[in-house]
This record gives sequence, C-alpha cells and structure tokens, in this order.
Amino acid sequence: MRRSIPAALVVIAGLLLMLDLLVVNPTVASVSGGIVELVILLSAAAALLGASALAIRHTRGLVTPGADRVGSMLVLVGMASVLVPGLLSDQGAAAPAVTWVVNALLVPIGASVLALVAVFLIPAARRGMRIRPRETGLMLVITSATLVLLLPLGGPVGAAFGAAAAWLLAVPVRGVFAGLLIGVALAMAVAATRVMFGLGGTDD
Amino acid sequence: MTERRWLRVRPGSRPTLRDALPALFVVLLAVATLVGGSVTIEADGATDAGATGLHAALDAQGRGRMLVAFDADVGTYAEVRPAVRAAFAQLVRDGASLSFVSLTGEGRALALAEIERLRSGGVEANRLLDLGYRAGAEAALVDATRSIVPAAATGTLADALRASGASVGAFDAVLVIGGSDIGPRAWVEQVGPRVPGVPLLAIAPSIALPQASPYLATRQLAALVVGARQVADYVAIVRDDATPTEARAAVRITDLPPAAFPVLLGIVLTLLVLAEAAARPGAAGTSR
Amino acid sequence: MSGFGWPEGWATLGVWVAAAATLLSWSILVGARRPFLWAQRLLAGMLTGYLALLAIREVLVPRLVAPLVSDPAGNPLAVVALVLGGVLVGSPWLPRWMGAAPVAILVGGTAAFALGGAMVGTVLPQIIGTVPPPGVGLASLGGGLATAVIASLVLIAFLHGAPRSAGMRLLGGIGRWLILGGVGVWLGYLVLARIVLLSDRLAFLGTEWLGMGR
Repeated sequence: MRRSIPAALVVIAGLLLMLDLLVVNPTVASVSGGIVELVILLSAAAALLGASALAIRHTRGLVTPGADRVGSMLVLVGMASVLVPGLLSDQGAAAPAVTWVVNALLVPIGASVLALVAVFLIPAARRGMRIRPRETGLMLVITSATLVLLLPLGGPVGAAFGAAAAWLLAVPVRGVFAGLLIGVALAMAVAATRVMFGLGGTDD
Repeated sequence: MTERRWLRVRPGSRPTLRDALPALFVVLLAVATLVGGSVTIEADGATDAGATGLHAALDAQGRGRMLVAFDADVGTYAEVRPAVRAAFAQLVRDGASLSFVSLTGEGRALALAEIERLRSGGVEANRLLDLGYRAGAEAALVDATRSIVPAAATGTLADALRASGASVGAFDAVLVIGGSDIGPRAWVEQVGPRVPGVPLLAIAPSIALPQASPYLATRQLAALVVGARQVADYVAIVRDDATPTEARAAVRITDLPPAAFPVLLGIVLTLLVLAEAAARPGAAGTSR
Repeated sequence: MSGFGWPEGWATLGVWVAAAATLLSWSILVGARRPFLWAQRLLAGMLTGYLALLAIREVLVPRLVAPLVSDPAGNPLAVVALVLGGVLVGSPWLPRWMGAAPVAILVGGTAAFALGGAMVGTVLPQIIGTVPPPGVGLASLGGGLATAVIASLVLIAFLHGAPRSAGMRLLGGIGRWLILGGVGVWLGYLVLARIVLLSDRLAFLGTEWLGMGR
C-alpha cells in the first residue's frame, strides 16, 4: 500500500498533464495547472535541498581529517558570497554585490575552465586513437574537415567553403540529427511511458 | 605543501616540449588576439539565410512585444553575444519592448547583466521588463503558456501584458537565447504546440546547431542564427541596415563579432594537433 | 565577461579579481592542478549558491511564502506545496515512502512533459519534415531524399535493442558510422565555440585588464 502511493501519484500526475495537452477542458486545465505549480515549487525545493546537502557535506569536510579542507572552504565561501548578499538585499539576485561576484568570479572562472576544451582535445584525441582507432579516426577526419570549412576566410575560397558548409548542414548533417532527434524523442517517450505506468521498473 | 604537490610532474621524467603544448597553444592565441583582434570574422556578402531570416523576422515585429527567453551559459555566450546585442539594438531601434525570462541560473545571471547594460545604454524603462527566473525547466515553460508576468512586475508594459492575458500568447514573438541546457528544442517542444501563433526565433551557439537546425527546416523555428559565422553575418546586416544616427545608438549596445585572426590560428593549431594525435596515438603526452 | 557593467566604484577591483580568477583557472596549463581544482570548487559553490538564491527569492518567496502569509485559507495549493516541499527537504530523516510522494509528482510531471513534448514537438514534425514535399525542384528533391535516407539509417542504428535481420544489421552499421560522422561535425563546432571563448577571455585580459590591443 505504502509503495503504491508514489506509483499512483506518478500515473495520476502524468496522465492529467498528458490529457491537458491533448484535450481542451477547463477542469482538466485547472487541475493540471495545479500540478504544474506543484512541480515548479518542488523543483525549487529540490534545488534548495541540493544546496543544503552540499553545504552540510563540505562543512563536515572542514573538520574531517585528511579531507580537502581548502576545497571545502572554497565551496562554502562561494555559496556564501552570493547567498548572503542576495538574501540580505531587497534586490535579491540583482543586488550590486551579487552582480559583482557574478561578473568578477562566477563568469570568468566558468568561461575560463570551459575555454580549455580546445586545448584538452589534444590528449583526449590521442587517447581515443589508442582505444578505438577506426571510430576516432573517422570522427577526427570529419571534425577536421568541418573545421576547415569553418575557417574565417574571405574571397571566393571563403564563399566556396561557406557554401559547402551550408550544404553539409542542410542535407547530411540535418539527416543525421533529424534521425537522432526522432530516436532520442522516441526513447524519451518510451522511458516516460514506462515511468508513468511503472512498467518493468522500480517499486518506489 | 611542497612545490612538487602543486605541480603535476610525471615521476622520473623531465618536462618535455609536448607538456608545454597546451600553454603554447594559449600563448600563440593570446598573441593573435592582441595583434589581430580588431579584424572580425567578415560576412560572406551577408547573404546567409539564417542571418537574413532573423533580421527579417525581427523587422516584422516592428514596435511589438518581444519575449526574450535568455538561457545562455558562460561556456557559450561569448560566441553569440554579438548577435544577441545586435538583435537588442535592432529591436530597440524599431521601438519594440523587451521582456526577459530565464529558466537556468547562468541564464538569469547573464540576463541581469544584459538588462543592466540596456538600461545604462539609454533604453526607456517602460520598454524593458524583467520577468525573472522560473524553476522547473519544462514545467516552467508549460506554466509560461498560462502565466508569465509575476505579481510583483509593475509598469505600463507589465499592465499591457496582463491586459493581453499575461502569458506567452501576449507577446508578438519569442527570441530564444539558447545555451547548452535549455534552448530552442525545449521551447519548440513545450511552447510551440501550446501557443502555435507566436513565432519562435532563436540565437544559439555552435554546439546547439545540429540539435536546433532540424526545427528550422520544419519551420517550427521561424528564424535561427547559430554559430560564429552566422553571428558575424547577422551583426553585419544590422550595422549596414542602420542610418547614421541609428548606427550610433546601435554601436552603443552592440558588440564586435569574434575576431578572425585568433579563430583562424586556433583552427589551424587544432588541426595540427589533431593530425599529430592521429599520426602518433601511442606517443606519451600529458594526461591531463 | 566583456562589456558587462560593474557596480559603481567597484570596476577596477572587479577587473583585477576577474583577471586573477581567469589565470587561476588556467594554472593547469603549466601543470599546477591544485589551484585549478580550487577554482572549480569556488565555481561549484557559487553556482549552487546562486541557484539556491534564485529558488528562494524568485520562486519560493513570491509563489509560496507570500500567498501563505497574505491569505493562507485562500491558497490551499500553497499549503499542499508547503507540506510536500517540507517532506522533500526533510526526506533524509523521514520514512522512505513519505519522501517518495513529492518525488513521484516531480517524476510524473517531468515524464509527461518529456513524452508530450517529444511526440508533438519533435517526432511527428520531424518525420513529416524529412519527407520531401511534392512539387519541389530536382536538386531539392535529391537533397530531401538523401536527408530522409540518412535519417532512416540513423534511426535504425539508434533503435539497437530491436531484433534485426542481417540486412537490418548492415543498415544499422551504416547508420552507426553516420552517427559518428555527425558527432565529428558537432565536435568541430564545439571546438570552434571554445576557440572563440578562449579568444574572448584572452581579449578580456589584454584589453580590460592590461589596457592593450583591441
């Protein structure tokens, strides 16, 4: 009985939302609107739960022997640097102190770390070639060909490259990704149906 | 803490030139950025269909109400930022209003910075509206088709939107600024079928191109500018389109497209290292 | 980030801190892993804190706390949300079946949005879109047919769980190579995006921090 309550909630919530997408009915719309509101509020609560779990874990890390204390301290400092000024100010996330932290630390660090992907491609490509030479080789040849077409060149060569890139995107690449989109969407639909109806899945 | 713990050095080996390759890559790119950074990627005659399509679609909005779904992320925003600012310039020049909403944390942070930029750039307060952050991803999108104007929103624009239903349907179009999380696909899937009358336009980074371009082909997206080349094309069109007075205003809130020389050098260097990796897969290198 | 404003009086410090943060993040380029990991920890903390701030100030306070404070009796949904939210936050200390209730609503909602969106927004329009419309020119027809064939091969490869004949296995194999090619194209665009980002950070260091160049 206890185990069937969550399963029933999944089915009821899912079916009502699906029904609202397919039929126009004020009562169904009103009920599904309530479920949507609950999902939104619970998502926010889940974000808060995640943040609390991270804070608790790293607070413990501060006093655990052998743990990365500096790392834990930095996680907590990072959290506090936006939470404290944002909660104290009437402006919330738009508070000048939060904006400053975002512009001075969050965006530069995030962008700088991600910018290194091009650099780190070197060892990743080498590893790939060692493990799966045929597949990685084909992928890298196509990556290289794509990069050649993306070279910012002017004149007739640039125009020809641009035209070739446009055709690649319009025909073969579109075909591949249309197939992938349909495949992923079908897989999602199947997975969602299994979750909603508890088919071959977990008990709670 | 010793220096040895700080630095990653392979036991029993001395640093080689191969270990220095990543740093060398960045140093060369730095030189290219500083020496040739003022030469931007040029449009190939500004005839790109994506760029002209977005320009025409925004032009068609005139003085309309634009919902800006701002979910760029810090890893990709640098690439699309010039097009985003050019689109804002075009909309502001034409007299449109801009209402911002975000479904991701990073999108919200960047949106706040852009709203402040527009305010300080002289855009009137009654043409800018901050609809804030909405949690729940797809649920938030579905909710936006019912109600998107928060109770705390004030001003003539907020009132006008409330009078028109206060949902996505109250807008003349949606401009989706996509990132690697929420982007054109989520809007097409969740909002498109529920509010079919509101055209969805999008600016997205290169990595979203394969995902987003099939929706342009099926016209579920009315316009799409994606990647550095189309960004450059679109910025060029907006600049060419402006009268001298408008150009001054537009320049104030537009940004330069990506610089050509560093991109050229970066691609050439990447091609060289990929070729080297393919030729000598077993060679010892940094294992970062 | 280039071109963003700073709160009055804090610009110089902001630019210097941003430059230091950029260099700290790139310390791994000279083999220094620890500062790189510290930068990542700081980033993780800030991102989590920012999301928590948004969840509190822009969702929970206006949509849950405010209605409950102003008119609790008139907002039964807010009361339900408060109870479920409380159960979710307290789930580590509650019986498992209780904590599963709010998760079930989240899962049911997410599954329904995924199913509905995928079918109505992607599967049907994309299937229709890959079929060339009647009356198009020969070149467009050829392109459309090629797209449809490629999409079908990729789909066969993607549905790898289904039992297949030798012919289908061959087609699936071709589809698998096509997927690899597609990933190769995507990787090319990813590299370009990251080169632009790297160049943007370098331009920030050169112009906004050191006052050089552009």
